[in-house]
Amino acid sequence: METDGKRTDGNGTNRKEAERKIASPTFAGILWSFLKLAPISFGGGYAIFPALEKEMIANRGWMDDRELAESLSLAAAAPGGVGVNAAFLIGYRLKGIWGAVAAGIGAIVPTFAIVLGLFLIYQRTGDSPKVRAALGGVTWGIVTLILFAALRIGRSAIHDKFTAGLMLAALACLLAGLPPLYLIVGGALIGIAAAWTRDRKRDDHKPASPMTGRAVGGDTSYMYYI
Amino acid sequence: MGTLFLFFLRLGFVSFGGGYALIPMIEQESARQGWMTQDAFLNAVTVAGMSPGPIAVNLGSIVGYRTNGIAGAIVAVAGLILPSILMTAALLLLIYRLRKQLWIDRLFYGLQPVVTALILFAVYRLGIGRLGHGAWGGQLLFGLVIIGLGWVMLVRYRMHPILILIFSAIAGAAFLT
Repeated sequence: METDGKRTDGNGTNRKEAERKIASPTFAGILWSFLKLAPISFGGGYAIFPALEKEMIANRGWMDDRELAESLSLAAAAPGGVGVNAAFLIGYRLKGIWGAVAAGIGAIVPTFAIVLGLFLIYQRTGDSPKVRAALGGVTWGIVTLILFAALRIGRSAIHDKFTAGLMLAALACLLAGLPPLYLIVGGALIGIAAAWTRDRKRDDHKPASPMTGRAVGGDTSYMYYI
Repeated sequence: MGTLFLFFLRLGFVSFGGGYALIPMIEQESARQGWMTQDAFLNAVTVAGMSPGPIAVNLGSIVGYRTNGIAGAIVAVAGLILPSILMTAALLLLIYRLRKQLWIDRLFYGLQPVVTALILFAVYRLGIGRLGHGAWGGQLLFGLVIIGLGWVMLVRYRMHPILILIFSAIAGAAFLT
């Protein structure tokens, strides 16, 4: 954690420099980024998060940590494949409707072609034990990537006892077999209620709460980074 | 082809959280409509699982392809994706057009921990599914070693994620049966 924090800080300064240098995202640029990323999203969209982070933040400098974490949370909360949703959301954020179209095409076309190609190969050759063993190994590689994604999202999600408790409670409910939809709706409502009451309490003590003094620039980052 | 589209459109509206829950629904409908045999369906699930992209969308393209060729595959994928585009767009309008930043912050305050739990749950499901194959003790040991080494590659050496997948494939071919 300690070294992680330092790493982010180091990236932070690099990123700001990069942002100044790199031109605003183009249609072709967004398309290419997602074309490149989509074929490695084995095991569902979450596995793509680390590569997406590397591409969007380190390579392209199009987004910062918080913007990306926000987009990815939204993508996971919307119905459908997380990877495809993330592509649409990030594309829209970068370049409006056309950005979303570019990212969507980039995310869908390669995987579509690969699935059908693999299915045709599979139908002809059947399955060898070696191929199965290799795929078994890949599953654990994917588990690693998804764990990493959980850490990254978790770091921006959990900043006090309440959010930590909410995360553990949600995990317990999932293990008990509750459908994810209920948890997403429930979590959103509980979060709104808790944050609202807390803000009200804070306002009683300090009229000039950080909430009201926030309108500095277009940065849409959260107020809950304390 | 109309039935195919409508069926997948309907599924698209309920595919929250990655779409693993859709597999049994697609299986039932395939059997009912006579789209695929049980055996062909199991093969299709395997291929869908090992392909990149969301498993439900992959499965949709295979089922569509089996019944109506390329056109069927496109129709099935369009049906599955359209609802999520619409709902994601609705969310976008809510979030970026209204710009009620305070309420968005409050929404995310509760939403993000739940999303973190969902991602951890996906790890759990994937791992449990894998442990079901053969000797689970050996599988677990192998899995923990891969996670440990992969973590070092990812966090300490900042390697590209694809390298971790390639490494785990080679390790799997070498040590798993």
